[in-house]
Amino acid sequence: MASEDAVDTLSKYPYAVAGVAIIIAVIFLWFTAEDSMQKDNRLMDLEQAVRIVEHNERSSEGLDRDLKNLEKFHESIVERLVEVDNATEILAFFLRAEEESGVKMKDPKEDDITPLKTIDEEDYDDEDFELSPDDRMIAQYQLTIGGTFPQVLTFVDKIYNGPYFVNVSSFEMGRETKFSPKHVQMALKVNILGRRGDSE
Amino acid sequence: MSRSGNRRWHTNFRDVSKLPNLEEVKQQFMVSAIVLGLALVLMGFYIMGKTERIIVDEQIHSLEQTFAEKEANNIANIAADAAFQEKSAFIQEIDDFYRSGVDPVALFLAISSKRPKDLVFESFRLENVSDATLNEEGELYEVSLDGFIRSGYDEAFQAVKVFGRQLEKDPYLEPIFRDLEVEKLTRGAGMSKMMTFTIVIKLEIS
Repeated sequence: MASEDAVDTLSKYPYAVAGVAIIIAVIFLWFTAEDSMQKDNRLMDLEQAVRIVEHNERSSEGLDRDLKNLEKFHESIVERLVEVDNATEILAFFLRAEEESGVKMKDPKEDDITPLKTIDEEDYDDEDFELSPDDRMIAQYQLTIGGTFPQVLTFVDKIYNGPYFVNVSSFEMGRETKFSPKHVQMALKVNILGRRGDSE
Repeated sequence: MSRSGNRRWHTNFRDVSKLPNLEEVKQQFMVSAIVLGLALVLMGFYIMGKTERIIVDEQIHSLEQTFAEKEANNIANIAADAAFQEKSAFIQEIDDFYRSGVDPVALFLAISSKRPKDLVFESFRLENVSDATLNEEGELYEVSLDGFIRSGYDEAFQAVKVFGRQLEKDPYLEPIFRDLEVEKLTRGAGMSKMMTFTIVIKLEIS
């Protein structure tokens, strides 16, 4: 009886019934649809990614050419890195400078071989730490030379502007009393930048 | 016929018992209108949302295509950039090492060329005095010059001051010159007209 009344009442509101059906359908579709937030996020991520890619593209204009030039320069620098363990080669370098400048050199003394600052000291002190052959190292040498002032300057110039990367950390120059008053003696400490090499 | 007689000219044929209830009709209309209106508004929002989704889908598809087209090139660019950074860091490291030292020949020439004639150097010392624990950016060097000058105290002091001013202007020393101190200026033993001196020149290479 109650259901007949309900049907009777609903039959009086056909448009309202249709409207309610539409509302239910729309709500159902709304909730079963894909998460729009997820799509918005995906869109934003993609926009960001494409922006980055395009920015990279613009920034990389001419990068290949620059990289090739840099690689050539890098190779030329690597060629100038002496193997710091190869004392023979370093001594030959000092002897060449001695011969070309005319100074007299006492036996060069190797002080220490240390890694360049970029290697962490703690790592270096660790027993298990292994240096790669390309790691940059500094070989420290003490030299004592004697000669005329121009000869000494020539020797220092040949060392400093020679084939290897050298800097002079300290020196002391004074008169060499054994020779004529024109002669001077110089004690200098030089750092030669090189690489560890494969000799070990 | 009178005017009052005309009023009843139309006969009322309405069968009131068969006519629907006017209140009920009004209620049916209002309820249907409200529910349908609400349904239409909801449907409108849904269609708008759906259209937006379709547009978003198209944009996502288009961006995915663009990204896919450029991805390989981008990976190559990133690799090239990483290689560039690595090689640059290597070169920078070498450059830092090389520039952290003083060019001894340039230093000799700069000091010799600015030396007043009266000043005679007996020894020349360069020392790196940087304190690694202070984590300073630059390298600090001290150049100590020992020598003598044949003059009285005032003239000697004046000559050393002039020497300091000249050094400051030297093209090689100018960017690295920090200070000049007269550490010692004393009368030489047994010589009435000779002053011995120790000058310390402070240099900073940053």
